[in-house]
Parts: sequence; structure tokens; C-alpha cells
Amino acid sequence: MTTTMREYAVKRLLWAVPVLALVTFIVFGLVRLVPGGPAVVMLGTDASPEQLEAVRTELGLNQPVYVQYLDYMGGVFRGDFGRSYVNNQQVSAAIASRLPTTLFVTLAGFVVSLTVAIPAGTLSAVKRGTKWDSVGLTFGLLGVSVPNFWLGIVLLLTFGVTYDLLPVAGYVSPLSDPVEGLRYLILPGVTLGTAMAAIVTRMLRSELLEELQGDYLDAIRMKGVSETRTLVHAMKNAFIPVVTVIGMQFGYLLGGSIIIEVVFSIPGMGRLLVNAITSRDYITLQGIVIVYTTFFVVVNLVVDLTYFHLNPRLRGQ
Amino acid sequence: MAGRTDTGGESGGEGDRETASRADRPAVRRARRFARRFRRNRLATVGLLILVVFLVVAVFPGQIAPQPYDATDVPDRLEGPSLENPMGTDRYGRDVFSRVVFGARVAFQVAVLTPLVAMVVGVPIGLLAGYYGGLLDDALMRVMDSIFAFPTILLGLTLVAVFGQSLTNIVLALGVVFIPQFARITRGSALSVAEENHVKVARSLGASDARILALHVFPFCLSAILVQATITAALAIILESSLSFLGVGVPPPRPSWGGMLRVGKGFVSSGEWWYSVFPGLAIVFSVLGFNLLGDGLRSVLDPRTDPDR
Repeated sequence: MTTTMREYAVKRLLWAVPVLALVTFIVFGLVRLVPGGPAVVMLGTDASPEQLEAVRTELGLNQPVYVQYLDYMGGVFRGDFGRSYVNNQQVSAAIASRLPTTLFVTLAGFVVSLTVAIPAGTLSAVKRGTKWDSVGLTFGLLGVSVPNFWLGIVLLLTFGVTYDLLPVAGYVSPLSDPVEGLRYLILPGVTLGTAMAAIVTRMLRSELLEELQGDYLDAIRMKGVSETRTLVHAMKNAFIPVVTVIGMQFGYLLGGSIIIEVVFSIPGMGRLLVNAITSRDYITLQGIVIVYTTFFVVVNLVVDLTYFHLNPRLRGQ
Repeated sequence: MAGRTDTGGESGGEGDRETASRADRPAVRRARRFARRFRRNRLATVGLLILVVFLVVAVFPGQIAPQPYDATDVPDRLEGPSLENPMGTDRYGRDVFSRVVFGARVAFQVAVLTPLVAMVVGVPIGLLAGYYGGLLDDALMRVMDSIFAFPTILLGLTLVAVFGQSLTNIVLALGVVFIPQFARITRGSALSVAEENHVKVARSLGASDARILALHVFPFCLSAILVQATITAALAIILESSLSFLGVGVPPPRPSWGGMLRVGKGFVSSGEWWYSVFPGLAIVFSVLGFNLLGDGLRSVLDPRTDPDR
């Protein structure tokens, strides 16, 4: 029996729905576990019981949690994430204005990491045991051992203070000014992308080494195909498992962008999140976390579908 | 046949497979072989050495640090590295070296306790899911997937923000973050071990499921769990310092490397580089130690997954 792409997509989508439901419920439930509940956070510990009661009624906090949850999710589906009780801002508006920034930062990290990892991993595998390989392996190890925010600080020290080549803080949208926007994205992209570059380099190297031992390559060579084109054949196969890792890493880059935005003072969702945490703005916090995780789940879904599409061997199962 | 003689790499692989098939020899010989292979792995030995230094510093910071971590000396604040203060002083004139030494304590606790917490919950889940399969497997793994659906830093941030900042909460929060990894890895091993003959024999002799899981399945998952634990320790140090950097880590005045970087970052533009460089190097070395050890363990315990076999 073979599974068609459509069957697989439907199955995978049906799997994503309960995961998303559970994720949103966890976030929603967590926020309600805050000591004293949101009302106390809003009014402070010296508010009178009457005041607290009034706020609880207004926010619907007296209803059972599942009623509150369904209410809230109903709003979310209409694009309404509630209103912050700290600065009275519409949470959806606050998120919408910062989401593109965060996505650009994440994308910058993604581009940097693949630009480094694909040549580094390939070179490391093809020239196994040489100086090139050592460089690749060392990079693979150091890249995952250096915390990204510290790398960011070191880059700040190098570029901001010493050389004055690239902007070290702030953000210009690449949509409004492509050249300046890209300049602002270079250091954040390098900072965010290094760890993923290291992981993908290692992974690509070991997959390619395995693939290069395949007998089918000898068959191809015997037909007189050049070494370069033989390598392309091997790379195509080596890439199948690497795609999964790349996709999962995209989600982690999204998470990593939180800290990168703080390091480089970029006004994105991550900074909004950290501010929400320090000002105990739980309505905003909950909205942002739901948006991040939804992106994460959707990206994983897309990756799984791509993987299925790329790997004909899976279809037979 | 011809193929075998012209590639050197393949004959090495043969030898490995041979040793693996002798895995049923007495434990002592296995331990000795483990030690030998581990020692031959130079990088793993370096990792172990780094971790020994890390452990000593974390246990005896008072004996190593020249000053207490909170000894202020305001006239000498923001001094660069010197003989007296090898890593300079911070904004209150505290010795950065002493604070880095005391910061090892938080980092080490996080590195050891986080994998433990994750293991205690994740391993039984993985064993049950892998051994029983079916509906239980589906249900457990779906819950694991939804924890996995949070980017790690985001889940850590949210948990600490909700439950409050303390070392205990951070360890618990990071522990939760890594539960799914342990569950997945254990499930994978349990799934394949459950099909093996020794498990079938135990079952046919009337051993209870609990006994089979504990004595005949779990031990065979250990090497994968151990490798995962070292990787988790490295990630836990990075995550804890990230949380501290964002201001949701271990509360001051206890020095943590991430917390020092949080303050040090403010002095980057004025040129006080030592404030943020040295605590960062401490993070890099400790994380490197765990990563090297993890890579070494992987190649010794589970040669199939090692790219350099």
C-alpha cells in the first residue's frame, strides 16, 4: 500500500491540530497559575478584596478555566488577543507591528547559517582527514559551545567600538531601505546563525560521508559521469535527512531571535516578550507565546511535508 | 570483494562490527574496553579534564577566589585586568575573577540537576511508550510533542516568569524543557530492544512487565540516555545563562555568568571589555567540556552514530 502526498498531508495536519490546542491550553493555564492570579498582579498585593473582585468579574476570571479558554481562543481566531492591562494596548496590534521585524531577524540567521554550513559541511566530507576537515570539525564543535548572546557581545566589541564598520544597534526595515536594512541585519544574522551553521555542518558532513560510500556512486562513475556530478548525486541524497534538521533549527532560530533582539536593541517580538515578562504583563505574554509556538508548529509541519515529498522511500510505508 | 580491498575505511568498519558482536562478555572486560577506547579519544579526555577543573572550582570557590564575590571597592571600580585583579573589576569594584569563580557554582548545579530532572520524568515515559506502543504510545508522545512545540528558550522564559526566579525554579523549568528529548531517545531504544530475544525469553519465563522494563529493557537504553545527558548539560548551561542575561535567571547578589554578562553588556560601548569577555569565556569552556565529553561518549558507546568511526 502506498501513501500519497495528500493522505500524508491530511494525517499530519490532523496531528498538528491537537498539538496546537494543547500548546495554547498549556500557555493559558500557566498564566493562570501565577501566584495570586492576574488580578493581584494588576492591582498589587494591597488592593482591597472588593477591587480584586471587580477586576476578576471584568476580566471573566471567575468563570471556569475552560470557559475562559474557549472565550480567549474564540477571540484569537478573530485576531483578538485581548488588551494589555499594563499599558492598555491591543496585544494583536503590538504583535502585528513587531512580527515582521522578528521574521527578518530569523531569516537573516537562517540565510547566514546555510551559506556557511552547506559549503563547510560538503568540503569537510569530501576532503575528509585534511586541514579543511579539521576546520569544519572545529567549527562544528565551537559553534555549538559559544552562547549566541555572548558571540553578539563580542561582535559588538569588535565592530561597534573598534572598527565602526557595521551598525551595532537598532533596526531599519529592509522593505523600506534594502541596503541600510541589510547592513543592520548582518551582525544579528551572524550571531543568530552560527550555532545552527555548526549543527548543520556536522550533520551534512556525516550524512555525506555515509552517502559517499554508496555503491550506486561507483555505478554512476563507471558510466563516465564526472566527479563533480557524482558528488551532486550524493549530496541530493545526503540532504534528505538534513532538511529535517534545518527545519527544526528554523524554529530554534525563532526562539533565539528573542535574545538577539535584546543584544542588538532590535524592536521585535522578543523585546516585547521580555518587557512583558519584566512588567508582569501576562495577557501580552500569553499572546506572544502563542504566536511563537504556532509559527514553530507550522514550520515543523511544512518541514515534515517537504521531507515526505523529497524522500520517495517513505511513500511505500 | 574487489570493493572491500580498495577502501581502507571499510575494513575499519568491519573490525568495529566484530567487537560489537562480542558485547555479551563479562562486565569487567567491557568496562576495561570502554576505558581504553575512551582514553584513545583525545578530545573526550580534554573534555573530561575541563569538567574536573569545573567541578573543583564549583565545589571550592572560596578557596580559589582571592576575594569574596560581594566585596566592593568603589574607588577601584571598572579597572582593567591587572596583577591584583586578573580579570578586572566591575561597576562596584568587585573582582571579576572572584565572581567568575563563584559563578561556576550556579552553572554546575544547573548542568547536573537539569538532566536529572528531565531524566526522572522523560525516561519512564519513553520506556512505557516504546514498550507498550499503541494508544499509550500515541497519547504520551502527543503530550511530548506539545512540550517540544515550544522553542526551548521560550518555554524556559515562560515557566520562570510564571513561577518566579530562583535556582530551584530554573532547574525545574529547564528540566521540563528537556523531558521530551529523553522520552524520545528512550522510546527509540526501548522500541528496538523490546523486539529482541532476551526480552521475549524473559516474558515467556513469566517475568512481570515492570521487571522486564527495569532489568531487560532499561539497561540497554542507558548509553543513549547518557550521551543525551551530557548534551543536555551543555545546553542547560547555555539556557540558564541566556535566562540570566535576559534578567529572569538566578537573582542577584549570587553571581551567575549570564547575569554578569547582562550588566557587562552595558559597558561594551564605553570600552570595558573585560566585564563581558571573561564570564563569557567561562561559559564557553564549561559548555565545551560537556560537548567534548558527549562526543567522546557517543563514539565509544554507540559507534554506529559516530561519523568518525
